[in-house]
Amino acid sequence: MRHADLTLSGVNFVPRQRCAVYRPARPADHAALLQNPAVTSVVARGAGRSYGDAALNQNAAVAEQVWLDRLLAFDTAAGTATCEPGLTLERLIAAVLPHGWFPKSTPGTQLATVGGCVAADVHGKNHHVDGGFAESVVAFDLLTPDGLTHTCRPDTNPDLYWSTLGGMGLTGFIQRVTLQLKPVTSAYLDVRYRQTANVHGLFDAFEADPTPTYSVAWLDCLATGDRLGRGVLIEGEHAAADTLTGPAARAPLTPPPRRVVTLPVHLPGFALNRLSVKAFNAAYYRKHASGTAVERYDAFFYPLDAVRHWMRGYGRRGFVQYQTVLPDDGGREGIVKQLQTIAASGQSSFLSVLKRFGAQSRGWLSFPHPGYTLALDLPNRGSRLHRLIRELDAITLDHGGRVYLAKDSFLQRPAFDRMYPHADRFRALRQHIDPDRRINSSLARRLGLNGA
Amino acid sequence: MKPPPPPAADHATAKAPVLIAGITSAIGRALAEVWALRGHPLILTARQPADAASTAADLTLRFGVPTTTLAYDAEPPGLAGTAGWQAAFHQAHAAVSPNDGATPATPVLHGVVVAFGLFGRTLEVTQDPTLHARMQRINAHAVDELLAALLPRVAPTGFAAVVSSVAGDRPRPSLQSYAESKQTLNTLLARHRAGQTGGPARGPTITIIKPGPVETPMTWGIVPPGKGAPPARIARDAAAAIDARRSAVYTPFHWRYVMGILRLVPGPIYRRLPI
Repeated sequence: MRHADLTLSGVNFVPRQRCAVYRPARPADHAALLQNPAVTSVVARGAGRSYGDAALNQNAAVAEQVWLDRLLAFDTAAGTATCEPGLTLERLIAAVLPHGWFPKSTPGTQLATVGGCVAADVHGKNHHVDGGFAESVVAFDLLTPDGLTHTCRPDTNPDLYWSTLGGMGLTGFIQRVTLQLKPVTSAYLDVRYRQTANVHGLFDAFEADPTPTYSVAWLDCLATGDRLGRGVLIEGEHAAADTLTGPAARAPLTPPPRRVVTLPVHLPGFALNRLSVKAFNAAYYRKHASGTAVERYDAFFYPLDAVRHWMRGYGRRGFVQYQTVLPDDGGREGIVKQLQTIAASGQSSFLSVLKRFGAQSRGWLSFPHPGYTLALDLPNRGSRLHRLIRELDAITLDHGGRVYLAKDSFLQRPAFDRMYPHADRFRALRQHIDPDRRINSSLARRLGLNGA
Repeated sequence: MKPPPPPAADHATAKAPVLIAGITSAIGRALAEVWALRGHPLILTARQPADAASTAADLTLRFGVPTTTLAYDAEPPGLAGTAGWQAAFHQAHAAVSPNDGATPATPVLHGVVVAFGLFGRTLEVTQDPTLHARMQRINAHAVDELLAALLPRVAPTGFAAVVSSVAGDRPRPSLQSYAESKQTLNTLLARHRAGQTGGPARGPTITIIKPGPVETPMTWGIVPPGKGAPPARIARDAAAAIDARRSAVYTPFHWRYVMGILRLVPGPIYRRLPI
């Protein structure tokens, strides 16, 4: 199999690293890669939609799964779908939604692959009700570095199952995944917007009514003082087909193609500055006065997908997404402290999202944990940003929280070990199934996931 | 594989199947999606039918059309003309046709797409002396045989489309043997066209698809990433050319002009070009 030597990055352009890029075209190609003496180590890479170095393997190999994108089975009665790991959620949804099915859990982009969603155990706006992506996985086949393929379910090979869900691709190559979908009668959602004056209003609103299936809050990180974290709580429910009106009622499961625009070039680094974002935030806040709307699924779940290459808006230096979860005990104070720290740093998060998580995922390295999760987009300002992230990490650790590995490229082993109690168990499993570390990634080396 | 009950209108029943020879090729799969989207049943060939099975399932599930797989190996012994292969073809045709089970006396195809191919640079040909002959066989003579066997099955309003390459317009030293095989292919296709009685208005169209560099498993690591066109682009252009009953299409379109210029460059200069 030939490869291409490329400089790769995650979706946020930080970091950029040289990798030998293989593109398996058949599932059997993975076994060949593991045996290829020219490949020192390799890690699977999906669509490159994670942030950071999870899908990078500096000066070694990555195996892009983009050509392994077939839907292999779909039971329209039971709502189960089996696919190859490189299938994007976009193509999965296009195939299943017309039959009245939708993913039980979806991240904020449908350009991610199913394999990537398994590896990061991604979560959606319904985590507090339905759990994360892991809860939608029925089974998967995993090729481990010894060349064996294992069918993994909660009751079959449970260690491989729970280490792979959230395991950042470090346990082997996923060959196929079976998902349980949820029934829907339309491709639309009933959405409710609620403005709050500050972040405390958001906390109260989240806790006053935990019943909406989907809930997430956008918040304005540039507002300060009493208005710190003023925001809009967005709640959604799948709309019943018989409540729709107009064209949507005539074809409730098949909305017309979405209009997508492309950001053709990197904007200069100064394009997103405090002024422009302040103006945007103020406009967004005003626009989303409290009220209700009916929105198509892609506008509700995947707003940024409407702008192809939106990340170029941050310029060539890219940005960092920082996502943390703080447990309920002291979590509110911790979130406020983090917002204040950002404001005090003179830096600003251009897109900030707050959400409440439900039960802890059982994946050994899964991120979700009961409490509040805050996601911030911070433009890359070099060492100033690094300092800010260290301060945010310290607050996260103080409050017994953790950062999301799929969005991180800064954490080091000591902090990681405190955040993820199963880290040593994960290391031991890797020592057992992959003593030669045929599977490896930049993230694994950074977090010391190869050591004992 | 039979599709699940279609969500909306049943669009598949009346249409004749399209045979895609070489479904494991990326362009073959992209072209299969074009005709699946139009509701044609598909017969998908691969050397090992098992390699075609997952793509067949994918096309049925995503587009709601019946699909089936058929073994076909372009390397000798050429099977396309043999009674055994013809019988297998009849069976495959019946499997995706609406009248379940009953084998029609004369199976009719809407079209044939030939997408298989073997790629080798001059560098590799010097290391493997059999490669030159294999490319001639797979890229040209096997296509000739397959079309001889299948063209009589194609409806007069249908088509045959063959994936060639811009390389065949004028061989360049770094791709000499590959380009030669595509040159041979183009010549053999002209012969098929000439052999049709009544001219293009009354027989199936034969369209030569001439892609520039494409990002596929065949070219990964050779064509610099980002420099190749996506297979879906090739398929879209090819389908438009087939619909317009054109005999050849350059895709992406600018290759028509690039090759137009390159054909005019005098030999001594051409051989020194850094291409």
